[in-house]
Amino acid sequence: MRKSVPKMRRLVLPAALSCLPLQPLLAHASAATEMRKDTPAAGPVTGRIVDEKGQGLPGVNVLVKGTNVGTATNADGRYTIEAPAGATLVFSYIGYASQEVAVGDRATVDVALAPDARSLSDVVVVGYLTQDRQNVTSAVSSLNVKEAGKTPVPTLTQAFQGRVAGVQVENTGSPGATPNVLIRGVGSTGTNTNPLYVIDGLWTDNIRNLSPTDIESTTVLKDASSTAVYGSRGANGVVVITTKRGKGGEPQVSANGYIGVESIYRKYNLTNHSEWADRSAQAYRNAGLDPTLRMPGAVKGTAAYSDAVDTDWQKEFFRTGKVQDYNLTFSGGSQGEKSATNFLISAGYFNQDGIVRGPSFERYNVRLNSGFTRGKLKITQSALLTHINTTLLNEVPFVDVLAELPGIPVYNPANFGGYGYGSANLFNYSVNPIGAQEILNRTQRNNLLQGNVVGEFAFTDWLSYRLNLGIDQQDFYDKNARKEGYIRLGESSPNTTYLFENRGTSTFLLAENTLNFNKRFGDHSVNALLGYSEQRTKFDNATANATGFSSQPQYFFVLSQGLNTATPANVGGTIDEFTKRSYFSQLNYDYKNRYLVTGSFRRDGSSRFDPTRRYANFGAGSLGWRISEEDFFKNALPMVNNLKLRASYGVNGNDQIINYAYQAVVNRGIFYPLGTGQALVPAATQPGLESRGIRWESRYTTDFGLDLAMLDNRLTLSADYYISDTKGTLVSPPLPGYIGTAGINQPYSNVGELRNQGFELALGYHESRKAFTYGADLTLTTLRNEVRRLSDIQPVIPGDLGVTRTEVGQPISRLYLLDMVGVFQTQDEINNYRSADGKIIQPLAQPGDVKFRDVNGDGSITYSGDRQFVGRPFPTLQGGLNLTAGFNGIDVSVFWQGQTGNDILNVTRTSVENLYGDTNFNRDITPWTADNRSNTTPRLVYGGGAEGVKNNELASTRWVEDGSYLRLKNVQIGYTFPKTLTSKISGSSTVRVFVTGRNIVTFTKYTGFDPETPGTGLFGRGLDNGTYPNVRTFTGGVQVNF
Amino acid sequence: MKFTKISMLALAGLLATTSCKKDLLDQVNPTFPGTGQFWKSQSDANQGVLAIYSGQQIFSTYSLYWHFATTGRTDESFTNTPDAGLNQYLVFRQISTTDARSAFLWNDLYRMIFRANQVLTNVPAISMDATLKKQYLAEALFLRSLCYYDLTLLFGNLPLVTTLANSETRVPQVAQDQVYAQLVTDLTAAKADLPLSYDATNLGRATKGAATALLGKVYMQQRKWTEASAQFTEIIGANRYSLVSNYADNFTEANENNSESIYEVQFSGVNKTFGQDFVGAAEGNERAQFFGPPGIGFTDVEVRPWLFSEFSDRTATGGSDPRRDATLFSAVGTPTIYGRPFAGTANNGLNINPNRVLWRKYQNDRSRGFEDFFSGINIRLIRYADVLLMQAEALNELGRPADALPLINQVRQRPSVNLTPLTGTYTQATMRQQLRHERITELAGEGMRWSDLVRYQSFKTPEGLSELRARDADFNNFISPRNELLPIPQTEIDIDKNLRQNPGF
Repeated sequence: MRKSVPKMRRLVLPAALSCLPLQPLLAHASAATEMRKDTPAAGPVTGRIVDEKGQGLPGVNVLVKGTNVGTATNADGRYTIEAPAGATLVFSYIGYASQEVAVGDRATVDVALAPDARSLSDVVVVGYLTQDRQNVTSAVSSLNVKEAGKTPVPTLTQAFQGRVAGVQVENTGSPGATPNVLIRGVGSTGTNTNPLYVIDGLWTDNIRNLSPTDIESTTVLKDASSTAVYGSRGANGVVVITTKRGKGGEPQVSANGYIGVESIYRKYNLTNHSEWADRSAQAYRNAGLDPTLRMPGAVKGTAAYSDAVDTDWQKEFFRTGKVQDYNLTFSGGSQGEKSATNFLISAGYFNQDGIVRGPSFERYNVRLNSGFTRGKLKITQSALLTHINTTLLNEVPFVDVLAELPGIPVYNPANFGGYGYGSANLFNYSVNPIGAQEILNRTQRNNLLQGNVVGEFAFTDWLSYRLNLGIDQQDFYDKNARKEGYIRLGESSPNTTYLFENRGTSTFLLAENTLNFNKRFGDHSVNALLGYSEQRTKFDNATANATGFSSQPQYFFVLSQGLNTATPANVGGTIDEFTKRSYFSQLNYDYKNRYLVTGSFRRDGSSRFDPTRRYANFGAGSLGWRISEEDFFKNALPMVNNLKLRASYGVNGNDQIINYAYQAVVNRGIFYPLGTGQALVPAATQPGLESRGIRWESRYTTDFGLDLAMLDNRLTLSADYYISDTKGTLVSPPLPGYIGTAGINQPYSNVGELRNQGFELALGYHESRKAFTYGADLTLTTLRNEVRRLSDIQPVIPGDLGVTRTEVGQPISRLYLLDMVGVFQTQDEINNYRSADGKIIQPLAQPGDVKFRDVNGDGSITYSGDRQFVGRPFPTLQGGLNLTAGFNGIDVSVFWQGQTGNDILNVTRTSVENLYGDTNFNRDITPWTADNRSNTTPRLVYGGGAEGVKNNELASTRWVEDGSYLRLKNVQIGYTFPKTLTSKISGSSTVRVFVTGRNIVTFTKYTGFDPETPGTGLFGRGLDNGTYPNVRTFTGGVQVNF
Repeated sequence: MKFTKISMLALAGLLATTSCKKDLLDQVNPTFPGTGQFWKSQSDANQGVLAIYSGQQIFSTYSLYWHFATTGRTDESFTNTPDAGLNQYLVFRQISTTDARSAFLWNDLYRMIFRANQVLTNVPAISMDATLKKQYLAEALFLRSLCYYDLTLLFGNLPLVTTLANSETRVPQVAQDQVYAQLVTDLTAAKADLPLSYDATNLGRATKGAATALLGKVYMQQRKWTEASAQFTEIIGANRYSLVSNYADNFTEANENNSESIYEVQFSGVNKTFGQDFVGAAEGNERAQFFGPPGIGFTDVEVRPWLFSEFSDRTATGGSDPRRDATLFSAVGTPTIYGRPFAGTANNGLNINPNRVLWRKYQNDRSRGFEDFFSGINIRLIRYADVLLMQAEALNELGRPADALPLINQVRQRPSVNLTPLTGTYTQATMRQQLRHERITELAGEGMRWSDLVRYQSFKTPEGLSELRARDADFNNFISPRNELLPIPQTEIDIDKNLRQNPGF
């Protein structure tokens, strides 16, 4: 039977393709049909189609093979069809593997359909065209939305982690945070490195607003051949998202929801007050200082010492967070001869209260997707309305919670505002992390409208025109207020209240015109497209602030209530506009479905760039060969269902820099108090420099890939190797400070070159033909990043905190530190630690102090001479393994995710291990003493003493840790109630309950809160600087469809 | 079919809405004017000059970091700060050439220089009042010279940027005497065009006196006593300046820009929003918060006890030197500060260890019970008492100790201080010692000590260093020549390979 498929295709495909992209689903269904000539007389066949859990499947297409005779199952999955004896019935249903069953002489044919996790035969959106997945010649990965949806995540991007090869997700646990997504490494030195998201044809960056339950499919485009048609936005990869739409048949209602709890999965083991006092006093004494002068509260046996307070700050600070998510979807449609309609209305509510007081994220969603087809005209529409409330974290509490002394109470009524903080007895300048969340209040309110209207007109069955008009508008209202009270030592101003507001709108408008030619000539199939588009982005905001808010009878945090007349309210604002014009084309060609060629071209013009260099061309091509379609191959290896070799090459761009960078501007917002009354007199200056002659970054990617499916498509493999070179990357290195523009937007120039290369593997096995189903999906990603060229006048980019450095021949933002060799055990060791010319390298050190490597051999330890590259900023290997199993209504999924080969500078840890005297201490480490020698932990010594700082806390390899981890990212167990119970609600209803655990177990050597840390930006990669750790979540939920 | 026609029309309409506009890609920045639209009028010139002044208020310049560099690191002060980087910086154990205290000071003084060079480049072409144009250019020269004076004092050999920089600008690093030579040229030019004084609305701008005094200081640091003395003679001879009767008026908000003030940086506490260079940004200085006593401020810099003892002179009535309690907080001299007991816990006391001595100059304790990051007290960079003492020093170095004596007594005998006048005969050496004592007691905590120590060559001589070590144990860490200068920020060295790092870093 299988052998006859190619022959059949020749007849069916032209019809199917002519429907594309109007009705790809029908094309898919009909592709499985087959012509038979010897059709005997018909007779009725009945049966019931059930899913993998034994539930009746409504709406399954039932077709007598080789004929137009078909029907669909009813609400309970039952069907009746007139079929001749000896006929073959074809059962197909979206998302399930089609099955063909020979009727024989049976009158009843019951079939269990299995989910089609392989998604081999689906249609993939690549650029502006859709392609049968089997014919895709680009590096394209689909996210298994259904499987990924099992992890309760607030945003889609979090679901990529470990599930899509070649995609790196850097995430925090902060409610409402949008993760960093890197597709095939960092391809830019100066700009945004996140991919472009295209939702139903609308380009956007606002991915946080999309409810994951609204998503039908997600495709990640990784190589140039798939992204070049996005031109200047394609270089960081493209994520194409299609949202759900209504289908014909009985209207569907589905409801689902879950609630859960979240908590920090690891805390530091810190000393209590008594242990802290011993260590702190010792640190002073080791420095030759009297602790009673500076830290009297650490000296036991004195009046200043009291152990009445012993605060476990972590216990006080961390709490159990809550997460809840509810979604309700109504969908339906009609399917007529030449007309169709569909609609989908969904509403969602998501709420996350963090693991610490304060931060929270709340999202309200309403989506309306509808469609309309009549004759040659088709209109589809998508609209998402979102309302978001976010409360942000204040100060750096994940550091302060460690640094606060146990002797300080959380609340102290004697202090203004009532919070505990350092005092003359317990000297400590940390911010009370709880007070910071309670007194400071930073909120963001967003309203978002995201959607588009698409009109398509088919002139003929092979030529159609499409107009796509989209809008992505986000209104924001940020509020930043402070109540009365002090939260750290050293504050004494009586009125601390203020309010800062920032309101504005960012609007993106898109208009795309495309003309699509799609025709098959014999063995030749051509799908070509021409397009023209314009884009406009406008941003404006207004800010105002005021001080002096009365707390009586309550706080009125509106600007008019800032009653401090000495400090007048201030206002500010900006307007920003960015426009783009593009011409593009795309071509897919295949010969006999076997030899595949694609090409694409885009010409983009942008207002962001120097007027003489506004336009640039991007293009790509790919070749594919489906060896498995060759007769010799089919005969030799019949167990192979599909084997395709493919190669692609192309160039795309990146324009994600600030607007107007090529123009130098004057800042008029400067003042100087002058004259007897010290009136503020306006001043103006040019703060920064213009970027002369800037243009796009260009990224050239070469990709070689292989797709394989065998054993009746149960085993699938997809592998890619790529080399991607970004040329003319926009480098904006800090200029010498003596230019006089330090810290201001530094000028860009297109001088950098970067190379990313890696290997990507996705391997899956699914057995789903029996009642017991199981499967495994493995993804592996390697990545090597190298800076190949930087500015000649500045070959180095120093990074955040001066601890990373970007230099030719190294990956972006590699740690650059002093090297700790060990701890000096004896004075002799210090005296004998000499340079080649006999100079004592660390003459001021004492036994117990850190020994550093004298890298340049000059006999002293200096930052300029003795730092060196250490560690790796990028994991060498990342991966995920998803295991699924199902039996009789029970389904289990277990997802492991991990990475190895990267290093983290644990800056947070320095606050409890600098052994410095004024913070709490890590109980897990034992400082060096003469009796208890350590070669990794130096002695306790207070830093400001007469003998000087001993440099034990300097940024060195002492704080570098292996960032590898393996994490049980997700476990879900679900149970679908038997039909016999749920059919009482409604004939076709299904009810599934599930429990999920997220981040349950983590294997890592990393000692901080969380090895999954996003760092502090492009040049602060690998720095754990007090970011919000990922949390452990347990949720339970229910899904109902009827 | 009818329907199809309508839909075609609808589509055509949609198409029309997206048709090209010629200027789609021409976007002019609506928020900030381009530089091509500025530097056109007298008002633009004035605003450009005031932007240089405004650079003095940045926390990394005369608001805070200059005080760390010129007061915090001297033998007057020591630190207990838990801020590791600041601590190392203040006790000469900074090995980190990336440290913010030196990097930001460097960057932001050069930021003022960039602003000054904008004025010097663009204002000449503006058609405007000729006298004002000269004044504006002279102000820019004065302010640029002020920055270079402090930069070379603290960092030594400098990249000397005297033209408008662009991103390709790289200038050679020149020796300190070349920097000084530039300053002599610039300040001599500035002197000629600066007014003697300003009207009430422009009070606070640089005067001829300010440029003259700064030029004198440039000569003093080069030990060019004759030239220095000539400048001071000009100032003293002009009879424009006089010592205020109340010594404390030099450090409070109440009597700013007074008769003793030759040049001061203007600060105002009105705005309380952190940051600079935007509408509503703070215009205050941060020194008071960082130098403030425990319970009030951060106490990052406190006073070495020898300084307390240095105020050993007696008033005519036998009292201790009144300048001591105007300069320092101590349990002895100021048992109540900010309205609260210095030691002890009663009456909301601050419970400060009675052995500690803390900075009072530039604190707001006389006017309020708290500190914040927005002190409105102007920082007096050059005052007449300093000029008198420098003139005395120059004359003494020129072998005229007797001529120094009346100048010293003038400072000692302002009404509110009124110490017993000095009499008798001094040799050059004894007068030198006496002058050092006079400068400490008059100017402690005002940021003059570091330049004094450099000029005294205290870092170069064993006697000088041993005296410093006796007074301030932090100087045990002082390695010469390494700690005589701050490290040039590492980023500068990384970026411009032609820059040579200061010795020892």
